[in-house]
Amino acid sequence: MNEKLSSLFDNELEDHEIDEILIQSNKQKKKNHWSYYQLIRDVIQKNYIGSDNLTKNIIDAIEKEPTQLGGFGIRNENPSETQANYWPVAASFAALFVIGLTALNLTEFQTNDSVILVEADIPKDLINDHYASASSNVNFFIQANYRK
Amino acid sequence: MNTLKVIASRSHVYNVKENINVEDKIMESRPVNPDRAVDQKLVEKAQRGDKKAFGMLVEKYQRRLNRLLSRMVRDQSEIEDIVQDSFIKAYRAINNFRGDSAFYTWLYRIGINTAKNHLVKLGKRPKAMNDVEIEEIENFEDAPDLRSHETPESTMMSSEIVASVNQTIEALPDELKEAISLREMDGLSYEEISELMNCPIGTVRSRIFRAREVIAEKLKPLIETTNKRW
Repeated sequence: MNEKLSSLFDNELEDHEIDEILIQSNKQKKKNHWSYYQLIRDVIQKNYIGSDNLTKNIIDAIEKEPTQLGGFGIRNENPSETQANYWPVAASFAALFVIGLTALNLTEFQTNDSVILVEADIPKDLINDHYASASSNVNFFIQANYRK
Repeated sequence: MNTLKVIASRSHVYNVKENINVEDKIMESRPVNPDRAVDQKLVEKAQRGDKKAFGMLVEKYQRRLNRLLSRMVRDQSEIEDIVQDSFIKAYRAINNFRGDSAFYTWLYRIGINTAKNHLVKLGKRPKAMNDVEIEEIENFEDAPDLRSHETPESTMMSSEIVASVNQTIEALPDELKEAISLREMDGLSYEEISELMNCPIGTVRSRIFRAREVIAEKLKPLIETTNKRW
């Protein structure tokens, strides 16, 4: 576990390994060596200043803070990926538009006026027969055309 | 013997003819900011409520922020208060961090603003700092001499810690010493180190880890005593 932590410290882990190590690190009760790795680096690079107690104070203060839950601020690094995500939405809207337009045209064709016009050319007894047997306007048109 | 020469200095490594190609490769493959990816992961974890991940960022940047602010504020105890306030502010605002800049740049800006406000409250005139100056500070390699701001006891403890790390490194087996030096002094990646040391990346990983563990174990009693005393 500490070997992976050491690799994480050097940014030498794959993404899935990072998640794994952070989860394991949270489960572990014993304090890990992360702070020592930073201290060693600071000493080797001559950046060390004696303020180790401060780290503990800050972490204690953070513990008292309400937990921050959000993570909505994560920016998408790849704009082309974002653009690609819009295409299915645009396609859906286009499809809806075409279907809507078609439906509108059909409704216009099937207005009550056109039914009345058709009825005028058909003998009344036939129409009465039809109303007695037909269940829909579609059947009416089919039958009317067939009789002609 | 060759390996020890490699440790001696980076310039020495690159003066060796057979390593020239390795150097070219190193320069080509070096990422701009390798810390940024790890920081981003830790920030994302913190944004999802993982306080321990934020704690890792505290451990990573506390001393650097401390060093930065010591150029604006003289009193060490004041600096520590400002550092603590800065981290708390950063934590409260962590969900606003969008990754447009590196985490430490964002944190440093919070630190500098906190320091400015602190000085204004005290009626002291803050030293003006613009973006260029902040960038200069971030790239500033030589730490200012902070020992003058420390207590004699903390100075002594710091010296003990530094001495312990250096002595432990000196006493490490050659292959561990070489691996940790190439990583920490020269900032080489595992792949680059594996090429220089002619060994698999897994071996480099293990050597660096073992070196760190030996040093950490030596430091443990010293740090525990330091924390009890302070």
